[in-house]
Amino acid sequence: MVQGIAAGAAVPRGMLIADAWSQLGDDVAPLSNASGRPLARTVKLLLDPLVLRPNLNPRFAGGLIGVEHVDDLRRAVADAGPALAATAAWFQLVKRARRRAGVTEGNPQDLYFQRCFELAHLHGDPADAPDAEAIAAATVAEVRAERGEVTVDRLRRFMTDPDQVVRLAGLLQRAWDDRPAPRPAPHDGLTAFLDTCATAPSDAQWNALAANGVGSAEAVELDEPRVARGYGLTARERPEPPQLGDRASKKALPPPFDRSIMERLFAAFTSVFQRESMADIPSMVVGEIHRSAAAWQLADEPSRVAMALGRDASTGIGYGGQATPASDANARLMARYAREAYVHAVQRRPDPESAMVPDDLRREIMDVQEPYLRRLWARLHGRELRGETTAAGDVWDLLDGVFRSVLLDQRDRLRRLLERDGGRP
Amino acid sequence: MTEFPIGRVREVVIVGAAPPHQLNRPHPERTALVEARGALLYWDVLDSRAHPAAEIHDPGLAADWLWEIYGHDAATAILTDADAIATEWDSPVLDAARRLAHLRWAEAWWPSSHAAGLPALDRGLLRAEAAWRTAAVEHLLDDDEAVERALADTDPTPLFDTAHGGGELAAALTALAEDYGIELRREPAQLRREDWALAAGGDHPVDIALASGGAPVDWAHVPQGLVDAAAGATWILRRQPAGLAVTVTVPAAPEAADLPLTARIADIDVPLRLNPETGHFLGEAEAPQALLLLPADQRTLHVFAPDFTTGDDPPDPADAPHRAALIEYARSRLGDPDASLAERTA
Repeated sequence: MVQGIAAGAAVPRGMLIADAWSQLGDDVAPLSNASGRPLARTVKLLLDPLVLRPNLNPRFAGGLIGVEHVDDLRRAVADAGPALAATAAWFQLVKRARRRAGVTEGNPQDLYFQRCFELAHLHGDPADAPDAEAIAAATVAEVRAERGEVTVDRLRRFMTDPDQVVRLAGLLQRAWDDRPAPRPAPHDGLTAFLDTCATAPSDAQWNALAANGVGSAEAVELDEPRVARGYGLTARERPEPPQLGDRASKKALPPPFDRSIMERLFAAFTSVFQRESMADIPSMVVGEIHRSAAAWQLADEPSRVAMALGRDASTGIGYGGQATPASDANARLMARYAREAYVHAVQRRPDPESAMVPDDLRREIMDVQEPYLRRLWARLHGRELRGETTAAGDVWDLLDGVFRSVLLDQRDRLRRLLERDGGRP
Repeated sequence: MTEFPIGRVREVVIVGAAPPHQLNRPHPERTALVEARGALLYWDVLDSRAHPAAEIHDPGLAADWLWEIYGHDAATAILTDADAIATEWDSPVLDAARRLAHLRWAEAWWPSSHAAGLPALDRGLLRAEAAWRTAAVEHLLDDDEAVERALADTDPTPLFDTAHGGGELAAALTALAEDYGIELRREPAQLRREDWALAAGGDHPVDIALASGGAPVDWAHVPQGLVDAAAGATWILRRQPAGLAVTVTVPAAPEAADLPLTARIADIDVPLRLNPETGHFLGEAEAPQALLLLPADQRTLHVFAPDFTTGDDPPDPADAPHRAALIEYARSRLGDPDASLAERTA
């Protein structure tokens, strides 16, 4: 497949991976798509973090690979071949066990790819493991217990235990009473970072933003009347202490700052949950109480910086004419929004201003910053609960990915309006 | 061989640019689109070239997969400083991307029409095949949940009864859904309404027609599958005991949904509803005497779906010229063994 690579040229990383992958043959077919390429999640969950590790091997990072590193990359994939083949075999077994157990929740690639890679390292090829079936079944049960009703039940029991309720309510009250006084805003480096984060993210700038507490300082305005509401983070005049809460449902969650402590944790449990990286329930609840009283209602300074960046990157984007971009990231999100209008026309979607579009959807399309900041908050909150750190190089993917996800959801909702069979929510 | 001029505007690389460096997007009605990572790829359905035009807004991201669409040499040329490329590259990924784009075009713009003899396409089949093609190109798509999204719209049930490999596609989609953890919709197959007999326009009694006229319906002002893509709307002004009344008739598309339409003539809004007996949208409203006095060029008829558009932008007659060609094109697809399952079984 790789032909005619000129000396000294760079080669597309996707082409090298496709080529090296095809050498691994049918054994990795369960990790490949219909075109024989590694699945997007094979790259995201296996090849990148576990095989090529571009963070440690910068020569394997980026869209183009220097020709002098081509053989190294090929070799890295080839060396991982047996482990990947075993991973694929385990994945097939685990899928079968999942079917037998009647589990349908969640994307199996997200849930099991990395576990199957672990199983491959622990046990080798499942054909050589006498109790492979049992191991696969146990893996399915384990994953299910972590994300499923068991955890939510434990959370509910803990938070409705009368003794705990009194103690937790006291904690919540104190946490909000002791909210730190606003600090003066340090020198603002947000725009400088937004200008480069998509193309050449600077670790130094990113670390400085967090070290200087720029995220917290930027949260001060949220306590002014209607500011947090303008960002879609609360329906109230200004943020108020949350309830502890004793129930939660995935449908119709209020805006982030109006969610009860229970709802905040519940929302995170039902998205991606990883037990190893998450604390036990009592400490999670206490942690959430303190988080709710912190700047942006997030615990880590980098998350708060990300909210401030998201706010600035999404300012001035709206229906019918856009402002002059204030940064490169802002310009890129504006360009995405403008492309979206063309895609709407190509896909023959209804005009958001037409009669059938409900007010809330129309408003979210016209003023996309509100749903954007709500979703960005939820992503950052989930990352904090899982203990994921955000590096300079992750920021643009996060800012842009959240924006894309908001626009695509709006698109789906517009389309369903016209379909008599309604579609699923 | 496909040849494209390359334009560069700041960071955006335009494959198939209009000289010197302009975007060259085809009209939405003829655009078959794939939203790839870092670029939009679009084929003009009236242009038979295999390779798409493109707007590459993030060359760094696009470098990863661009070679799959144009071949390595052309992709390198696009990403460096060439001002034109030529390619004969052919690959299963290019083919799958083009088919996906075409399926999405057909879902949005297939011009079903009694007048032109073009049956409606089965949306379920279109979406099922689109889900399959999406999975074949998921590694180059912008949406990292594109396969899940496509599968969520898919009901494989009717496929099992479909010739031309429907059963295989259904089985493949079932396996795919399991790989992505999506529960496919399973709904009892809907009874297809009988196709209506070709209903000629103007078959209602006309006693005292004072004035009449007609106009094509702008595709962009109605949703897919509602209005006959080739027939036009007609209006008649009559005197009735109580005064003047204007009646508007719009031929419905085959298997049309029952969504309301509005016909605006001068500034009178006439609500139209589908009459399943005749296969027409029909409505009547009182009209002021003044309508009679208006010059003919101000008695223009504008039909739109109020659930789809506000109706505030009058139709643009300049939008029409490619529509006859699209109808011809659609007709050619019906007999084409290389067309999609939905087109072959329509």
